[in-house]
Formats: sequence, C-alpha cells, structure tokens
Amino acid sequence: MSPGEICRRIHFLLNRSRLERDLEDEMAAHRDMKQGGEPRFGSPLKLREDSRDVWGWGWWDDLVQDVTFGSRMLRKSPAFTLTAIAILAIGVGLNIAAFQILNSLTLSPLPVSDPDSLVRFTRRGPHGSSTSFAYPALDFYATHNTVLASSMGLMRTLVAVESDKSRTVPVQFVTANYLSELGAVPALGRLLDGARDDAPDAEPVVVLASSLWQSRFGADPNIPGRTIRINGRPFTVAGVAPASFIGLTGRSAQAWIPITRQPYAFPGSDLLTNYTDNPVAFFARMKPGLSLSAVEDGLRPAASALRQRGRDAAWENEWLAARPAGRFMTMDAAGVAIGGAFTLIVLIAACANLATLILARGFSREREIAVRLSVGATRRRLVRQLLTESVMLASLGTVAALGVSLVAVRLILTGSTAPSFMQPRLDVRVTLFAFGMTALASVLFGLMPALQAVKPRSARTRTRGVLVASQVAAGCTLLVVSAVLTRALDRVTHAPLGFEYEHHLTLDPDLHASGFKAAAARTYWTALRDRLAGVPGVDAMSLETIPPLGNRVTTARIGRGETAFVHHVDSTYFEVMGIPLRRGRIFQANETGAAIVSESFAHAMWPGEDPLGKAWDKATIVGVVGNAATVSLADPDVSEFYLPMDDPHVQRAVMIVRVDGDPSSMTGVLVGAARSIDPRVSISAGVLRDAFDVKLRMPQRMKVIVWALGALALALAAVGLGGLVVFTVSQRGREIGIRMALGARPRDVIDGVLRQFRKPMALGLAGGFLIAAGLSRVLQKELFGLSPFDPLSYVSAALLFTLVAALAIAGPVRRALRIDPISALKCE
Amino acid sequence: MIVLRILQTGPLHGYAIAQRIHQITSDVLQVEEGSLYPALQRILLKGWAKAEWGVSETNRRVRFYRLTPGGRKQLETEMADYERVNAAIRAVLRTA
Repeated sequence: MSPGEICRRIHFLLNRSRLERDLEDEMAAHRDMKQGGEPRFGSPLKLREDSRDVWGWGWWDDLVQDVTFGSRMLRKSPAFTLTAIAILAIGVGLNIAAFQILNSLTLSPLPVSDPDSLVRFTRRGPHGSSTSFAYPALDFYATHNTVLASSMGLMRTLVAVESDKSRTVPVQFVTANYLSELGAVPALGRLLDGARDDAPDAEPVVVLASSLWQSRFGADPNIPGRTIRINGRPFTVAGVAPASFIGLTGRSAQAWIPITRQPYAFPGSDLLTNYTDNPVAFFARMKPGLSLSAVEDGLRPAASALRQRGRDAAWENEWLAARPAGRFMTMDAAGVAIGGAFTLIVLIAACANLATLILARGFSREREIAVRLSVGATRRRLVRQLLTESVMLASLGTVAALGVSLVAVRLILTGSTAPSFMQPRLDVRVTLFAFGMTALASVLFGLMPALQAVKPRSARTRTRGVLVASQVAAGCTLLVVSAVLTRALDRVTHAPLGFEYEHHLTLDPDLHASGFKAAAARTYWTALRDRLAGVPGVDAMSLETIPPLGNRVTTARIGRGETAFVHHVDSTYFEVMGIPLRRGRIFQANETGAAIVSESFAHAMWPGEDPLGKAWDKATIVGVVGNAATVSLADPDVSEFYLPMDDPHVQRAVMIVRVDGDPSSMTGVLVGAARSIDPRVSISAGVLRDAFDVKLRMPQRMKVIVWALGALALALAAVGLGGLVVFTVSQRGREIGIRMALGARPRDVIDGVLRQFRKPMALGLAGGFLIAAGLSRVLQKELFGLSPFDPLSYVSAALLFTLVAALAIAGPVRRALRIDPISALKCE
Repeated sequence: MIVLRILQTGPLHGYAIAQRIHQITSDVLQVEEGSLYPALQRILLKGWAKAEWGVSETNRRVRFYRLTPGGRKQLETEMADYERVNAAIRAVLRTA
C-alpha cells in the first residue's frame, strides 16, 4: 500500500458519514436518470455497503457493531455478567498475585549496582559442601584468579555497641570494598575504603546502618569522626550507609566493619589466619562476558594451588560452585512449579466454570443464533461476535482481577516476614502477565462455547464432557493435596517425634566468634555448667553442635540422595533430649573414635546387618539410638550420625538446657547466669517450643492456602455441575415429562439425565488423582515422612467431592422429577 | 480498465459512465451498478481519479469523476498489459 493510499484510507474513515451521503445522493441521481427499458437499479443499501467495503474499514464496522451488541447483551443479564466477572477476578487474580510475588522475589534484581554480574560461591568436594569459607582461603582466591572483577567476603556477628551490654546488635564484618562495590552512596561521611582502612596502622573504623544511627545516636549529623565502643573497643565512625542499602544476604546488619579488624573487636580471634574455620560468605563480581561455568573453571587452578598449601586449606579435588547472587532468591524450580500448578489449576477451574456458564447461555441464545444463521450470517461472523463478548468479559474480569491480586499480595506480604523492599507494584511484567492471562482465559472459556454454539447440537455433548471433567479434576486435585498436607501436619503434631522439646532451651554464646580456643571453651562450658546447675528449675544440660530445630547444620552425604546430619554431642545428650538407646551403649566421658548412629542411618548404610562394630569415617559404631530428626522433622531421606564432642567443635557448640517449668520464663535467669561468667561473651537464648512452632508455620500456612484454593475449586465445580444439570433438565423437560407420563420410574429418569456426566466425572476424578499425586511427590519434603500417595487422603477427598457434587445435582434432579407432563408439553 | 479508458475522454458521472460503456460496446457489455460503484470507490482509493460535485446536462446535481495523472499512467500500464496478453492469445488462436 502506498503512503498516499493509506492517507486516503484514513480520510475515508474520518469522513465516513459525509462520503456515505455522497454515495447515497449519487446513486439516487443515477436511479432517477434510468429510463424505462433499462434493468432496474438494485438495492441501494446493498450497493452502498458493497461500495463502502472497498474502503477497507469493514472489520472496524463489524467490531464496533460487535462491541455495541456485546455490551448490550452483557447489560441485559447483569447476574450472568457479575458472576462471570467474579469468577474471572478470583481465577485470574490469584494467578496475578502469585506472579507478582514471584516477580518481586526472583525476577526483580536486588537494589545494588549491576546485580547480574554478582555470584556467590560454595565449596564443593567429593565428600561434602560448605556455603562459607575460611578468610585466608577467600583472600587466596581473590588474589589468584583471572575471572573475577572483585571479591567480597562477609561474616555476620553479634556485638555490643557502646556500653550497652545487655543488648547486642548484628553487624557484618566485610571486606572493605563491600559497600562501594554494591553501589552504596554514603548518607553521611564516607564508606569503607580498602586502601585506607585495611592498613595495619590505620585507625579502626565502622560504618553505621541508618537505623542504628537513628536509634542509638539520635541521627546525630556530626557522627562521622566520633569514636564509639564496639565490644568495649574504640572505633571511629567513618560514615552512615543509606537506609535503602540492604546488601546481598537479605539479613539485616546494623553496622559494617572491615573484616581485617575482626581480631581487634574479638581479641584472640585467629580468623585472618585460620584455614579450618569457615565462617565467611564469599561473593564476587564476574568479569564481563563470563558465564557461571567459565568462572567455576577459572577458579579450579586456584583451588588446587590452595590445596598445595596444606590439608586444611582446601579439600582434595575441591572446586567452587558459583550461583547468581543478584536476586533476592534464585528460582527454586520445585516451589515455582507447585505455586504455578496450584494457581493454574484454579484458573482452569474458573475458566471451565465460565465456559459452562457461557455454554448454558448459548443454549438459551440458540434461537437467536439460529435466526442469524438463517438470514445469512456466516459462522465466522457469529464466532467472532461471541468471541468479542468473551474478550469484553475477560477485560472487565482482568480489571477486577488486578484489584483482587493487589489485595491478595498485600495480605500475603503482611502475613509473612518479607523484606521491606518487596512491595506489590504493577510493573510492566505484571501488566503483561495480566494481559497474557486475559488472552489465555478468553480463549479457554470463550472460544470453545463460541465454536460449539454454531455447531449442530449432537457435537456438543463431548465439549460439555470435557468441561465437566476439567472442573472435577481441578477441584479434586486441590482437595487431595490439601488433605495430604493436613494429614502430614497432623502426623507431625500428634505422632512421636523421637525427641523431646517442650521443656528445652538453647544457650548460644557463640564462643568461636569471641575468639575462644578449645581449651578456653572447655573451661567456659564447665563454668557455665556449674553455674546453671545452681539455678533452681534447671534439670539437665548437654552440648550439641547442631542446635535442635535450628538452621545451622553440618551434613555428610551417605548415599544416593541421602544425607546424614553430623552431630558432635556430650554423653548426656541422649538423656537430655529423650532419645532412646536401642542397641549398644552411649559415649563414655572423653571417648574418641566412637560413633553412635540413628536407626535410619544404620538401615541406610547396612541394611539387615548388625551396625555395632562397623566403621564409618574413621569411627567405630558403638551404639544405635532411635530416629530423632531434630533439624528436618521426619524427613525420610535424612538420618543422624553422632560423634563425641571434640576440640575443633567445642567452640561452636550450643548448650541445651532442660528445665522443670515453663522454659520461656527461664530465659532471662539463664542468660543472666551465663553472662556473669564472662561479660565479653554475648549470649542468645532460644526456646525449642517456639522454634518448633516456627518450623510448622510454613506447612501450616501452605495448608491454609491450599484449603482455601481447594474450597474455591470445589465451590466452582459444584456451581458448574449444578448449572449444567439444570440446563440439561430444562432442555429435556418435555422428554422427561412424556417419560413420566408413560410411567417411567424416577430412577430411570435420573439415570437418563445423569448418564452423560458419569464418564467425564470418573475421568476428572482419575485425572485429579494423577495430578495430585505428582504435586504431592514434589511436596514430599514438607510432608514429614507421610507418603505422598497416602490412601486415606485420596479416599476422603474423593468422598467429599462426590458428596458436594451430589448435593449440587440433587436440587435440579428433584425439580426434574416434579415436572408436570402436560405443562412440559404445552410449554413453547 | 474500461472505466479508466472511458474517463480518459473527460470527466463523467456514474450514470453517464454506464451509458457510455453500454453505447460503445453496442449492448455487448452491460456494466451493472453493483460492480460500477465499488469499482469507482476503488479508483478513488487508489488515487486514479478524483470526484467532484457538478451539474449534469439534464440539470441534476451529480458527481463527476476526473482522471488524475496517476490514473492516466495506470491506464497506460493496463492497456499495455492487455495488448500483450491479447496479442499472445491471438497468436495462439492463429497457429494452433
């Protein structure tokens, strides 16, 4: 098309009414001039339409017509329209909400400069892995590579600020480049500077977080240059970081101190020279254009060079795994799949429901459609008309859905501990997603009925079958999954855990961070034990390196997909935690080279054999205890391995205290008693009962959400099925009337009505079971050892579903049986 | 092509175009209004003619179509094409 032609086309569009009048006048003149003998002038209207079509705006006319007609139809049945919009708002709204959360969690980068080039390293070796590093190893990697533009290390610790000993604040010891490398701009003063602050004779400096500056120092604008005390040592305040700075770990820090000053804050610490401790997280910025695997390969020579320095410096065949660090959370494939599957199921249920609704309406509009077909409307034109109505409905629904999603996201965010930078917002991606969902939804619920409406009646039963089946499947899936989750939670709250937690507390003095050596740590523990033994209500104590119900773990891989937690414990541990001895004996005092395993460990390693006397990792098994998954409650793939408390681990242990009364009320007394031993040490205390509740919170919240979705899908399916039966009955009212009049038994009549639903319902149930089984399999980690194919869950879900479906169907069927044959025949 | 050729002799209104075709072809070609007016609209759209209101010889208000330079060029191309095809057909008819 030439540009001139386009201009003329637009000209035709803009001056349509005038040009149309021209055509009309012109044709009128033409007709008048015709003489008797000539053929008659055709229909002027038809002629005008044909001529107008040449202008090429026919589709526009049709569209305007469709939209006008569509909105008239939607206005004419407000109940239908409102129901449809509500269904869409919920179905699409949930999907948008889920996407928004995913968007801000994983797709949106952290507010730091060039987030995509940031990586975090993990130590990997044939016998284990570690997410953190020894400082000298990190320093070695930082200087012996060609693939990293810069390296950052950080370590989170609690310190006492000024003279306030009772409350400690979390700070990060970081490599001096950390703040500036992430693009932080000082709110006041300056940030850390490696060249200046790492020099051995430089004055020790600290950068305060905005929150600490405000809460402790009254937002004093003259704070840079002031000297404050950290763990009693003088530090000069270099500056204040902006409030918007959140760093890479997502955990809060109140101040940043150069990591080279850690021994200054914790006298006696050998962090900077010790290869055996791994407390430092290793972040880096990749050189431009490098892939993750190129960076990993580029660091292999450094790892082997480090190994040359000594056995402690690196493991044999150690390498570093790199993963992107510029997002708050990297994509957790399983989580995304589950969340996506759930919301998609709701969307499908909503669409199938809406399609049923529209299909049913299609029956009542059958006459209109038949008339339009017979006066010459093409099928294409009719489908277009019906689709336009669907798209209009979908657009209205999307607007409502956006509202629903904003409310849902806000609810979810306030109900969880989301980082503050996560705010619900409608960015381009969310909007695009919403429109994509609308398009998908309108095709799903609009196209099928539209195609059906113009098809002969006989071909429709199958579509109805598909709709019934998909609604049943969706409702059934969500019900089964929620039943499985409920049973799993019941199991964990009611079944024996294998250990006790109700009367227990943990005391964590973090001796290692305070620079305690093994001997000093042993002295400290003995003193603490003596002191606590004098506190009324304290019943028993034990040391343990893996705090029960906590997150700090040491694992070893023992087989395919199976891991063991490696605990270093006192001989009193099993008694304190109430873990029963099954075979052999408990550790003796100061024993070495002995090990105790859980029954599951023995079963995994030596199935059917006697584990006593076997050797594993240079230790001889002397005893077998009951399963006590103190960290990952009842995860079937995890087992426990216990070693006696030894020197490198005694600084890292926590004290487990069993008390007589309510553990929460004892916290203050115990912490006070512990602090009186060594005021340098900052103690954090935890009540196991609270930690247990926290562990259960995630599956509990998930259960609530899945139940809500399940109830929603169930309600949708009930409404949809009931509606379909109503329409079948009204369609076949005459037939039912005649049958009743001829003496058919009610059972046969019901059978006749319901026969067409039987197969799709059975198929839907079966499909729902399959999908639910798949989802539960993925969820297995959250199931606390319950089989994902737990038969009771499946049967009860199926029963509940059938019951609700039967109730939904009962009403219309009863009405069908009461049809008066005469009035049914007279109708129409 | 035929309409363009007719318009080459001078601006005409719709009825006159139909009449002229009718006369020239001695009743062989009957151009119906049903094809004439869509054709005229296409010619307007392509810019081969311009329409303006005038008064006919019988004193009626009618719309005259006047060929544009673009229309003349289009006519020439179409005529040339037609001649070529026509000649080819005649050649086939004569020899085969």
